[in-house]
Amino acid sequence: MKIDLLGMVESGGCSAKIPPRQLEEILKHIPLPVDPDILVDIDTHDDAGVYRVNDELALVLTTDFFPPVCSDPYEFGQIAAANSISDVYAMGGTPVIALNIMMFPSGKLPMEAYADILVGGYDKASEAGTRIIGGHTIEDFPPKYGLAVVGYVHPGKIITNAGARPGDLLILTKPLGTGLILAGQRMGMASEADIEESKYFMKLLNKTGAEVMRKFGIKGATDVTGFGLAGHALKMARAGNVSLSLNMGRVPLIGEAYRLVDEGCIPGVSFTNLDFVEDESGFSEDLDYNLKMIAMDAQTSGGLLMSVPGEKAGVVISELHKAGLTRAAVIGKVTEKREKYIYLEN
Amino acid sequence: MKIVDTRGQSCPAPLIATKKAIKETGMEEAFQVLIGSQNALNNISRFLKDNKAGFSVTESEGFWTMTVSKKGR
Repeated sequence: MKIDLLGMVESGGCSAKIPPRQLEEILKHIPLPVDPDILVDIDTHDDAGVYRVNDELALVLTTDFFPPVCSDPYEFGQIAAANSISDVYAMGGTPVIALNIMMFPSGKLPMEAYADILVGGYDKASEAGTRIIGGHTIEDFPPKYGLAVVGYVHPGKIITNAGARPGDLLILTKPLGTGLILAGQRMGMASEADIEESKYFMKLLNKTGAEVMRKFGIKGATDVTGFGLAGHALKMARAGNVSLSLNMGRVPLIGEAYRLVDEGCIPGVSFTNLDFVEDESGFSEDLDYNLKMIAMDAQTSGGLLMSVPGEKAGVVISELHKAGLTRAAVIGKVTEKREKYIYLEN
Repeated sequence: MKIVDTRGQSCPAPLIATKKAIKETGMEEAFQVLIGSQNALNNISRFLKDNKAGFSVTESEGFWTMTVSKKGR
């Protein structure tokens, strides 16, 4: 029997994430623990927490899981693992160990799907040099999978949301469009080629990008995931008290992502993300509406958004291209804090 | 008047159908969209506002009828 995980997800990608505004409101009321060894917490809306063990070592902790983003269980496992591990890379860390988190409907899916998801996760984690040493499963429908990951980072070399400085250029390492192509796939509008390209990028570890960041001593970065390029740019801008200008026309796109948006293939979560960013965003008068909505597209296992000192940007781009990240591009710049935190133009 | 029935469709099909109708009519004539979910209503409304299209909405029998036109009559 051919297993189709996508066919099991009833509500579509729209509802997979709590709306960010609601989440912020809730988190406001939860006290943050105070401890000098907590080097990074939710305060800067970073990708992972960082805890200092000693002057040479800090632990990077992160977890992430979600319902299927493709039909094949093995590929789903690979993508979910790449996505979970990505947060460690975005902090400048090296992923070391992980635990599986699985929700699986044993009455509705053959157990071979369960095994395939785990093997996909195991293979991707191995590629990242990460050992999966345990996990936890509960019955749930539809299935969900991800990892809780622990990484190492030197306490003096943490890369955070707060590291963007005026004069920096912004580099994005993967093209955008995974959210809307998944929606297009459900609608029967996305081509096979686009679906394959999208899966290729979702499976691609941010390991190479992280190595380049470390080599050049980059201080500010995040990975672009559920809040879209605009949402994650906003988090960076707030954390660093700077403004980010994005040239949407320069943003690399997967396949025919633009055509899909132009035909109205805009997932609901894009509007949630727009609602999250718009009060603190400036949109240029002539901004192409399709490009604006691409900036809101929720990414699964998206690329790194790095803030790179202007004079290093050229060499960083050529290193990324040489390392195989051929779609990496300069997509904007960092300025002193202006009226709005982020600005989108064509 | 052209009627686009999006009831029962999952996101983003209702928006796709609405955008298709906009392209087909060129907004020269008004058309109606029947919408079955609050999310679809919100997203289509937001899309039309952002694109400066006019519309009005009435609710009855558990679904919404949206009339889209240049002036939103």
